Order: sequence, then structure tokens, then C-alpha cells
Amino acid sequence: MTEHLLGFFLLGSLLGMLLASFYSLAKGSEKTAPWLMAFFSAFGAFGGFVYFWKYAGTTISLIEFDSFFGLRLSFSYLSALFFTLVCGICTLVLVYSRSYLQHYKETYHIRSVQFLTGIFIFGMQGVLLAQNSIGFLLFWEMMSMASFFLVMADRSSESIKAAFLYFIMTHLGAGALLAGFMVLGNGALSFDFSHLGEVVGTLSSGKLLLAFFLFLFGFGSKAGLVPFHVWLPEAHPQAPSHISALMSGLMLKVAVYGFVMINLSFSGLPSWAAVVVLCLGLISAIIGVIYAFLERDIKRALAYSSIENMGVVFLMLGVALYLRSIGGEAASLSLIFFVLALFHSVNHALFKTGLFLSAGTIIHAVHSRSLDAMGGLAKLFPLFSGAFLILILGASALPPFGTFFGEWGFIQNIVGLLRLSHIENTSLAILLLSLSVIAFVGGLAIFAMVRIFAFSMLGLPRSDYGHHHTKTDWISLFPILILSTALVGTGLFARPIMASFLKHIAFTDSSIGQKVGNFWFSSALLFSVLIFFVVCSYGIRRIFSNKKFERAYHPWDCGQPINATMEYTATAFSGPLRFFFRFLTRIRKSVESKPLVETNPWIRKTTFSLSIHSIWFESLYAPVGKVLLFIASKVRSLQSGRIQLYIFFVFLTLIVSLIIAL
Amino acid sequence: MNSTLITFLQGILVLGIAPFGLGLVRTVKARLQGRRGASPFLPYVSFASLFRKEMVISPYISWVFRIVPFVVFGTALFLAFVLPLLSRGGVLAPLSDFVLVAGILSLGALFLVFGGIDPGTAFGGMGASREMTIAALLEPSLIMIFATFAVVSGSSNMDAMLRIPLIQSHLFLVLPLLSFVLISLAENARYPVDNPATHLELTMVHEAMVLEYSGPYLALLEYASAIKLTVFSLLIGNFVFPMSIAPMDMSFLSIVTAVVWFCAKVIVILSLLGFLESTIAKMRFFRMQEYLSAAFFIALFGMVVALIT
Repeated sequence: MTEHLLGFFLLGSLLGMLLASFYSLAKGSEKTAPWLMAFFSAFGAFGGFVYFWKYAGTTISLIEFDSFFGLRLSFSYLSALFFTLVCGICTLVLVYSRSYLQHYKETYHIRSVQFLTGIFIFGMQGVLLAQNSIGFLLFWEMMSMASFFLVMADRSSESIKAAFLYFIMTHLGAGALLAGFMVLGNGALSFDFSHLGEVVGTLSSGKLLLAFFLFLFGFGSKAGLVPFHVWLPEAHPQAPSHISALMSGLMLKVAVYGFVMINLSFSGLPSWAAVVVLCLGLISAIIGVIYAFLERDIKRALAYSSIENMGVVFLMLGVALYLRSIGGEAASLSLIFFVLALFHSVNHALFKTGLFLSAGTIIHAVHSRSLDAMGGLAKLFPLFSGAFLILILGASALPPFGTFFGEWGFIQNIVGLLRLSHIENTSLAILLLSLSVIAFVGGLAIFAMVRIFAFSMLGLPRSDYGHHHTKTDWISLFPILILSTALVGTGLFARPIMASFLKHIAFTDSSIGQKVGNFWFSSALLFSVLIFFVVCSYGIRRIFSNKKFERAYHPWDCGQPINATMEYTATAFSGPLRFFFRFLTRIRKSVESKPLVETNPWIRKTTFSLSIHSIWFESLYAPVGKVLLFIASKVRSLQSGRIQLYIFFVFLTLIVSLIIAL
Repeated sequence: MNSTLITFLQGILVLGIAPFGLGLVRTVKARLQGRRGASPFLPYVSFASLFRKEMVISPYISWVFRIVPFVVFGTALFLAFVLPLLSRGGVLAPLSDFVLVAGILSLGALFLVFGGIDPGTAFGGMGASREMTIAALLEPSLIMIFATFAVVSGSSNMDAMLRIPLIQSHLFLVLPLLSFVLISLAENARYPVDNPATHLELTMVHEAMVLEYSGPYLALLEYASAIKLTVFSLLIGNFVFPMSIAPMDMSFLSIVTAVVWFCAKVIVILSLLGFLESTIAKMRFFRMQEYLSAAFFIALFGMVVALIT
């Protein structure tokens, strides 16, 4: 397939997605529109795979318009990586949505949801292909607006509140991006990315820092970095489950793509700027994981887990930028950390999408989002729970799945850096801090994920949700199975994938040589050894005892029958950790005990409540909001209703603008 | 051929000596308490009889309950065959990277937690909650301990770490070793973290999760915890005396020397464990974060000293 043909293929996928989303507005298209959109998305994924197979490393230019704001689209290795990821996962999510939305016919207006999904995907694809700032921001806005409307798709008041919070944060971020591009372009409205390397060399260091922090805020707020993360745990649970999957799995990665693309060209940054990125990543990881194991709503817990993983990605990126800024021998390892961050993003996209799609299936079965109302699903849906187990194990970064190799590589390379003899003490302290935080967050992430799996799948049903689905819904199960297989695949092929990244992703000023860090054992060996030992243990059991020798009897219960109210709940499971971290979280416990009748103090009615509050919302955002509202109310007194005052203001504005312009 | 034989021999020896190790700890504790105690070879009889017993399974379980014993025993077998316990140079030595070992340990703990929650009892949930808390909080210490050894020895592979007598040449490495002892006590459900002989739910961590298992499943789980105990004691012994695991060649003398060192390490360290358990009391569970933070900060201090020198 020649380059031109590939280019037409990719453009076809983009245009096809746009047309398919308009088609989904038509009456009666509800059953066929998802298949059409999935087809065009698969088109794009296929094009991406062909690119990796034949053209890896080259840049294919797709469109160059001089009119229409000079729109330019082209396909480089970094874009191809994320584009294939986005298109592939969108295909699966669209297939899932075909059956998912049918269950919620009364809650969602299906045709508009499908239309907005198509525009959302089109926007994401466009962002990844855009080559100048106008196109980038155009598609970015499309992506943000579509997701804003999708968050309030069920039109309840909490959804609308969450959607407006998201709207404000995303536009603040987009404004920062626009400002950053204008600083880079020296005030020009459109800035071409191919000039990125030269422009960065000519900018003064103050402007470079300003642009860097604007981009950090813009991309970081979209990716969910603390303290810009408050919209994420509100917006992701309110959206329909497959949209949460797209937002959490893919939109956050598009923000990472933007940050990585800009930073591959930013040389000459001072090391304290990189330390800021590192610290933000660190804090996001810690805060994210702590709230992940505290939350009772399954989708909020998964949203906080996304914040934690994005924190880990930005921690890795921060270490990479720091190493590049200190120069010397350590700088040659900086590209490895970029590659590790990208590998972690790819794995996160796979498992987080799978987890949200699974959460959608679970919520549909249990009719509730609370973990304390679930249970017993592994018995009803064995195949689904098996795929969910693989996704959870991948999310916990356990061997032999893909995410483990990313963290493995990170720890290996940090240890390698610590061994270098001529590193100064501040760098040592920073590397040691990153190592401790990754290990700490890794352990707690396992806890959070185990809690989510165990209390949704195992034990007795904790609420009476009725079992009226006995037939396996293959359309919603199939995407989850594919995603769990893909996670196993990234584990098996971790070494070739990362080697390929390392070969094709380069800094624009390649004055830094790229030293390949010590790569590792064969993941195929690990896989086969583990499977072998598990099979061996089954063999030992078969050899030494009779298989049929068992009987069913109720569990050990001191003679009284056990029911579902006696078993442990998710809130109880995280009790010890809630106690250990009580200084970090604002947990309010209250016990109220009132006698039922005044004269009898022994028969009492007792109410217990436990609530978690976000310190960011209460100590940071709420006071800022109050100050802004106060200023706004004072300014409102200017609108007195007297027309003479308004004419005076118009006159004043005219004089001031004439003074400025002349 | 040589290395495959080493690995195979090591695995068989660990599997063979694990029940004896468990019994030895109990016998030493009994003697120190003034009793005669059972024979240290009793666990062999217990496991054999458990394999022949009928299983009683709660009807509320799912397929996850049934695969737990196999995954836990599989991870224990992995540790027994991969880590450098009898001699260095086994065929699976490239897999003995410390991050991988930490991950496999977490995998085993995680599946045991599922096994505790699945039958739907309160005992299991309580044990599962405590075990998962301890497992999550000992991760940073485990990584920091072995990162210190890796920085000093130049490799993150445990087989390669034990090439030189680390502690004799760098005395400050006693600190990570002390932290490793504290972590091993937590990981193997020993005093002061957990009481392996208890029947009271408030003091149970590991025992609560295996409460609903019986017959062959229980035998596999108990055997797995015995294997882990033996593996950890051998690891501690190997870090203190790395010359005891010099690479074995196929001569009769070197095999006998390695096996003698092997048995000596198990007997000495597990007797010391029995002695330790007789002198301290079990800590209150809600003070676990102090214990585990102490282990982490000792390891961190060891790493800082390693980086400074």
C-alpha cells in the first residue's frame, strides 16, 4: 500500500466518522449507526497497523490547505501510536454501545448520544492528526464540547452540575493552550508544529517557561493532574458507561499526547520546572489512589484510579524532563522514561476502558452504582468475571500483564541511575522520592483494585437486585474479552513494543544520545513458567486425592444461618486504611442516638453516617469561588438600569480603546 | 543441563523440607514453653491426611474460590524454584528479579484475599481486609530493601546480587537486612503481625482467609505458606552467608556441601524464629502502620547510607 493510499485511508476514516455521526441523527438509525461508526473506526485502526508494519518512522502528510485557516493534518509515529489506540478502542466501545444504550432507552435520547459520540471520536482523531495550532484547538474544542453534552446525557441535576464544572475546567485549559501557542508563535494566531524545534531555540527563557507552564496547566487539567482534577471524579461517573470509558481511557491519553509532543521539542528547561511536573504527578498519584480505595461508587473509584495512573505517567515524564535538564550521563536515559510513560499510557487506555465497560455491565445487572449493593456476580457471569479479573490484575500492575513491565522498567532504570557515581545530592533525593512513591502507590493501587473486584463479583449479593439476565449478551461481552486479551498481549510483547518506541521517538534536538537501558528477561518465559506451576499444583491435587470427594454445606456460622447482611462490605474492607490515612482525608463520622420514647432511655434509634469530602474542593475551589462571586455581586451594582450610565460607559470604552490603539 | 538439575533439585528439596520447617518452629516454641510438643515431622502426616479428606464447600462460592489454592500454590512453587536458595546458577535465575518477586508475592496474597471474601462470611472478610492492608503497606519497604542491595551489588537480579559477601563488605547493609526480617515476619503471618496458631477472629489474619477451605484445598494452602516460610528463611540466610550458595557443579562433594548448608540454614533460622516468637507478643492490628513505617524508614536509611558512601 503506497503512502498516498494510506493517506486516503486515514482521511476516509476521519470523514466517514463525521458522516456516520450525522447519519445517526436520522430516524430509525439506532440499530445500525453504531455498526457504521465502528466500521469507520476500524478502518482507521487498520490504517494505523499498516503504518506500523510498513512506514514506521516516516511522517505522512494528509492534507495541506492554505485556505480554511491553513488546516494541516499529518501522521507521524507518535500520532500513529495514539491514533491506532484511539481507533481500535473506539471500535470496541461502539460495538458495546450498540447493546448498552438499548437497555437505557428511557434515560438517554439514543440518537443524539450516538451523534455526540461520533463527534467526540472525530474530535479526538483530529487532535492527533493536526499539525498546526488552529487545527489542534479546533478539534480539541470539538472533543470537549461533545463530551460536555455527553456528560449530561441523562439530564439529571447532578449530571448537569458535573457537566458545568467540566465545562469551566476544560475551557480554562483550552484558553491556556491557546495562550501557550500564541507565546510560541510570538503573537501569531496560527503556529505550525514543524517549526516547533526552531522556535524553541529562539525564545527567551522567561517566555519558554511561561509557555511550558501554560501547556502544563492546559494538558494537565484535561489529564486530571491534581490540583486541576476536581472535574474528573464528578464528570466521569455521570456520563453513560461507554462514554466514561472513552473519556477516561482515551481523552486523558490525548492530553498526554499533546504534552509529550510539545515536550519532545522543549530543550533548555530549568530543572525546577521538571521538578514541578514530577511533584504534581507524585501528588496526583497519592491523592488518586487514596480516594480510589475510599469511594463507594464504582465509577468514582475508577475515576480516581485514572487520576492515580495519570499521576504515574506525569511522574515518569517529570523524571524524563528532569534528567534531560541536568545533562551529563543521566540525560542519555531520559528518552527511556518518555517511552515508559507512553507504554504506561497505552496499557492504561486498554485496562481503564475495559474496566469502565465492565462497570457498565455490572451497574446494569445490579441497578446501582454503589459497591455496597453488589456481590455474587461471578457465579452468574463466569466468563465476564474472568475477563474482569484479568483487567483488574492488569490495573494492579501485577505480572505477567502489560502494566507490570512499565513499572518494572521504571524501577530498574531508577536503580540504574542511583548507581551512577557522579550524580549530585538533589538528583539522588528526587530519584529516591520517585522510587518510594511508585512503590507506595503501587501497593495501594492493588488494594483499591482488589476491593473493586472482590465486592462486585464475590460473596453473596448485598442487595436484592433480582436475576433476570441469564442469556449471555455477547455484544457487550466481546469488547471486554478483546481488551483483556490485548492486556495479556502487551505483557507478552512488552520488549518489542518498547524497543520500537525507543527507535522511532526522538527529541527534536538529538544532541542527546540515546542509551538503551538494561532490558530484561523474556516475558514469554515468565508467562510459561507461571502457567506451568499453576498447572503443576492442579496436577499435585489430582494425583494425591480423589476429585469427586466433596459435599456442599453452609459455611462456618456458629450454628446460626448466615445472610448477606452479615458479610463484609467494601466500606468495611477499607476500614483499616481509612484509619491509617485519617490525617489525609476529610472523613466525617457521626453517630446519633435518640431514645424512641422520652421515658425509656434504653430503646434507642441510632443513626451512623460516614462521609468523605474533597479537601481540594473545600479549601481551594470553594474559597476562590466565593471571592469571585463576591466581586461579581459588587460589579453587578453597576447595572442600575439607568440608560445615562450605560451611554457613559460606551463613551468611556471608546475613548480608552482609541487611546490604546493610537 | 547443570543449571536445570540445580533448579530441579532445589525445588524438590524446598518442597521436602517445608513441612519439617513448619513443625520445627512449633516444636521449638513448645520446648521453650516447657511442653514436650509434637514431633517436628507431624506436618507431613497432617498434609497427607488432609489430602485424603472430604472437602466441605460453602454453596455461595464461585469459580474464583476454586482456583485460589492452585494460584497460591503456583506462586509458592515459583518462589521455590526461581530464587537462589540451594545454589546460584539455576536455569530460571533470570526470573529472580526483585520487582518480579515482589509482584508474585502480591499476586499470591491477592488471590488468598479473594478466597476469603468469596464464601460470604464475616471472618473471611475481616481477614481479607487486614491481609490486603498489610500486603499493600509492605510493598514500599520490599522495593526499597532490594533496591538498596541492587545499588550496592550492581544488579537487580537476586541470583547476581548474591555473588559477593555483601554484608561483610558493607556493614551498613545490616539495616536493609533488619528491615527484611521485619517484612518477612509480616509476609509469613508470624508474630508480631499475626498469630498462626490462633482461633479467635480478632487475632486472625491469614488463618481467617483459609477458614472455609478443607481437604486438598486446605492442604495446598497450608503447604504454600510452609514453602514461603522456608523460602524466606533461606533468603535471609543467603544474604547473611552468600558463600553457602556457591555455584554447584555435579561432583558428589559439592552437592552434599550445598545440601548440608541448606538444612543448616533452615534449622538455625527457623529455631531463631521460634525463639523470637516466644519472646514477643502480637501487636495490636491498628498499630501495624507504625511497624510497617518503621520497616520502611529503616530500609530508606540503609539506602541513604548506601548512596552516601
